[in-house]
Amino acid sequence: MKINVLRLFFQFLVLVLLQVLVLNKILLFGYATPMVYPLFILSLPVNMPRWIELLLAFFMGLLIDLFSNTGGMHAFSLVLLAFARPVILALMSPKEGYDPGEIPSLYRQGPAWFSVYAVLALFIHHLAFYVLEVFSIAYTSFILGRTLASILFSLLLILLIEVIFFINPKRAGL
Amino acid sequence: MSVRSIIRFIVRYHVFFLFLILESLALFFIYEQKTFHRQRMLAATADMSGRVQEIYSNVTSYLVLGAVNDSLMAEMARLKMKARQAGGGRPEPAVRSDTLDSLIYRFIPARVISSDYTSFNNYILIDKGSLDAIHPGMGVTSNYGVVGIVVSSSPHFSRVMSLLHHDIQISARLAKNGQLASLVWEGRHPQRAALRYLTYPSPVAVGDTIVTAGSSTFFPGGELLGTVEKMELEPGADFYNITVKLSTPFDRLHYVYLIDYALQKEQESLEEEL
Repeated sequence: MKINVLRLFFQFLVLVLLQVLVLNKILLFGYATPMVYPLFILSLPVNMPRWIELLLAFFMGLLIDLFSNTGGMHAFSLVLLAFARPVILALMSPKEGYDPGEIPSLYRQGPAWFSVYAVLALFIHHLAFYVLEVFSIAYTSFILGRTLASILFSLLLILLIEVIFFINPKRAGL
Repeated sequence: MSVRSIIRFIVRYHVFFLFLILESLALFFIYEQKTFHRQRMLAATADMSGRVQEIYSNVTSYLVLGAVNDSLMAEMARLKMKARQAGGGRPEPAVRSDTLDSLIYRFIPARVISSDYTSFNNYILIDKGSLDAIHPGMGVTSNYGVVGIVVSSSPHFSRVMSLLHHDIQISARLAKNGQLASLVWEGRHPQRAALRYLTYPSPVAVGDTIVTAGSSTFFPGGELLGTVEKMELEPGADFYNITVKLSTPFDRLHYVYLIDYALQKEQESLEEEL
């Protein structure tokens, strides 16, 4: 398996900075704050060793927590997502299976597949995050509202990023 | 069960164990963050994240110079007016209760490096720390109104628990008649807070000013909190349901003042005896 370390590192850095410096400051309709950094975990190769995946998720989450005063909430949610990703991938596996080292992307798997994949993953991540953030049963509808609104917002941005950066077949195959 | 089989067991399920370890670590960090009096971790990380965010803020601060200027000029005008009313242009007498007040409260200016307002519990990072005699427990205001309370400081930076935080409760007064109440943020809109325990009957009306009560060690009395935006009284209830429009725009906060209260220790030690 070939992992392009430089590309991973670049993605990691850009997504963390984007989240911390730009997206964290957005509050749409008093409800939705987009979280786009899970895209990093979503677009790891399908056969990535799982312990590396978990560690990457943990450090990325912790780095974002450091900048947004959230303790370990981003880390918790992202590790949960990384742990659940193989299950989602297995659920959505095409008949002939994945190519070894395949990177799930909008270009390769098509918009429908990728959107479902992203929504499932984002739901786990966002729900965990808002439950941890609010941490009170009294706010159940508030938690669900923020989760759903933010998923919609995050998904739109993630699809946009995919279209801009990964639609080119040559680059998508990197 | 031999040691060998235990090791085999761990190796076999290593992903799951790693998952558990990482999640427990994350939960531990969250716990550290949530406990108000144990913000050691925060102090340790404030320096690192502070330096990075300061670079970003140094770049973007040029874009808002106009707005900052306007707000400073507005404050100047207000203070000039106040000075004229107080002294009438003549030199002030040597000792007055006002001047004594200003010696007890010292204001230290600081620059906002980053301000959260989209979370359920928000913090603000400022560019002064323990080297500038900033310490946890100091109140923070701005030329718009009350901002929050310092919870931790590293040598060069401090973290401020914003008014938009669930653990904060500010003792407030209706400016009109000095009636006491309590201001809390309910986690929704960054510009709206709830005023609790304002007893019936009261002459409160929409548009009335809410200020700090001055009974806590964080803020002197009379600091602006906001204005009454919506109010209702359920029949038979003892307290009004009041929504306050906060005067501080947390999304456009660039400079703040830290309040150094000379008698803080004294007042706290006396309150602890109770």
